[in-house]
Amino acid sequence: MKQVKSLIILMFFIFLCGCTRGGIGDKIIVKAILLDKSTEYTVRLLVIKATPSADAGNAEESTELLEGSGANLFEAFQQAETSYTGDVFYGQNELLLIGPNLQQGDLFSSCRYLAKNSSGRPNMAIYGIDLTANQIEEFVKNGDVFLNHIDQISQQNWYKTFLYQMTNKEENGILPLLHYDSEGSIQQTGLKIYEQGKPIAQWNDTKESLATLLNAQAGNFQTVQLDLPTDSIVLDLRTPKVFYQCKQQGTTLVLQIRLIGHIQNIFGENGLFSQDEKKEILDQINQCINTIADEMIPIAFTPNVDLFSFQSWFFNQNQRITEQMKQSHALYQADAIEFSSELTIV
Amino acid sequence: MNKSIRIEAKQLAILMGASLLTDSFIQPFGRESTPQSAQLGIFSFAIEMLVFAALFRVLRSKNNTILQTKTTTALFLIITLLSVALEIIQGERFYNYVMQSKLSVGAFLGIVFVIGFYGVYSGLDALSRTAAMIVALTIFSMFLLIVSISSQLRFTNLQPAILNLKTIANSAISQLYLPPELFFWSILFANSDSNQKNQSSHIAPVLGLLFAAGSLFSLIGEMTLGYSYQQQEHPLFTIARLGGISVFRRLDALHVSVWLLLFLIKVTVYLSMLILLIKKLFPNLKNHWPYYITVTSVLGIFLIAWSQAENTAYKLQQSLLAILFILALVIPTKQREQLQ
Repeated sequence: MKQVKSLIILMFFIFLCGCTRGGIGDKIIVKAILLDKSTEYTVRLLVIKATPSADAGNAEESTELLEGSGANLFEAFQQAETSYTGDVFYGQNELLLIGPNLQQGDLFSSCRYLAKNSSGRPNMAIYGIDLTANQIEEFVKNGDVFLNHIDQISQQNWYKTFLYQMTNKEENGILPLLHYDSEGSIQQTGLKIYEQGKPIAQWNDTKESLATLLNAQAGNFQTVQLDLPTDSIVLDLRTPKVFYQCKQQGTTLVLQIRLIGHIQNIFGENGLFSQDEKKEILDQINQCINTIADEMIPIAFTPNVDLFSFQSWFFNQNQRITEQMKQSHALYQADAIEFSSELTIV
Repeated sequence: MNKSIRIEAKQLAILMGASLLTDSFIQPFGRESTPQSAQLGIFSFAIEMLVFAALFRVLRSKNNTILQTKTTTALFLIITLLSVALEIIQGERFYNYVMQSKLSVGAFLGIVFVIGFYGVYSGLDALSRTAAMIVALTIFSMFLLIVSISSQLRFTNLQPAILNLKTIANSAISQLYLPPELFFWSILFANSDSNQKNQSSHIAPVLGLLFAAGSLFSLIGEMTLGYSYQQQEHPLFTIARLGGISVFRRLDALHVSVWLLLFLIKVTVYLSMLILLIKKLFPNLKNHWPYYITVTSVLGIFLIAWSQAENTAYKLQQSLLAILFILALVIPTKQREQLQ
């Protein structure tokens, strides 16, 4: 009797593990999901198919693209998944790439669908990519090279937006953009700003670096590209930090944002700057950054959008005054936020 | 099956604490409430714990009046039947949401019943020891969770909330529910060896720790997700999916298994009380009949309520609990009723 009981318990364990639907060799692993929309939604799953073999030298993997399209994402996913006879395994998938058409509209509803669906996970990194459907097929024929590049995306220190950040009802967010060129390297080329579901701005170069800094995603090193009137330079910043301080001035609040960091190197058109040249150009650099920030802030902070959580600084200082300023829209005027760049030469 | 119902007050407290802790992870009985912003959430959680403490104090002073009349025992039986069915519905929904390889509903029910009845068979002592282990596991899992998302916690994500009496009251009322555990606790405590006036039932530390845990969860949830925290169905599961420690990226699998163990403890506690009540109400039943009655009635309620009448069943359960509470107050206390 005891043996029967133990046998029953053992059977439970067998039935509960995930392999009841086929062996490991039948599963294919999804590395990236590419979504796009032309007249209908298209889903491309970049998968790795493993051919297991007892001889370790013979085991290999091949990259494939599973395609599906449909009037809605559910049908598109179903078609993509059923185009393969085995089991599609999403467990390791952390990358979502959005094609150019879907970036223009319907992005947020697709993200919301994915966040609820089991093929989407809230920590997927979402990027916009400028590849059309045909280009993708061309690249995938090169097989492993494409896959390696896609793999590298997660290893870079690029600006990262998670899927759950693109599912809010207000439909605001920042989408980082990638460019895959014909030589096969992937670069980050800017950030697309969404307000109420529509892209309203694209920030490249300096604005992209500033946005990375303001969103606390910069590490200990940050390169900033600046276009000065005299020269086009690239800065190497060491330990850049952004300090926020909210002060009460009379009956209003002012948020002071200070960018502090050390400039290690400056590269210009004529090469590396010397120490004297760096000191000469420092004021220009700081002023240029201030101007650029003053262009960015009115887009990032409006009654509908608060991309960098500026509001919380105001609220933490004085909730009542902030509510008043919000009502009268004084919060969104230019004088409510003061940005100053205080970079120094190391 | 003839194990004694006597259980020490401390072990009982741990068991009930584990059962109430499950409600932070899985919505209790289908209560429909969305996560509140952390500020309001902490206040309403504090009010909820104070209400629980007050209810328990009243019930405890009345000892075992619930089991004294047939009507109240029968009423409590119906309430427990409803509760366990609703809780299994919620557990099944949570299981489906978090798992990729899904079990059919029948298989899930079968497993829950087998584990539940094995727990009942082992007795409340063994159950409370298991509950203590699982609470320790939960604490460890929460510690891992906080470490794994520590790089994504930001103070600026905390949302401002308007704190006045009206919003706090609204928020508290939307989160408030009557848990049958308070009734179980008072009955079992009255039966424990340490039922003297000056023995504590350890409810204050348990409710205090529950409040600390609940506030911590809503804090880390909102500090990670920001405004999206209030739009999540299972916020703790979302942040469990977000975090990773070095190469471990699917830690949510570990967290979810611990939370499901808590759910199983809760179901087992309810099933133990069910068997106890059936035996009290129908003392002439032989052998395994209480178990058969339990399974059929719970299955019956499950099938009736599932996806069709869940909200009605929840409201029914809550109103019956309120009625039972009032009856327990009203019935005069006779001598202490003994459970066998």
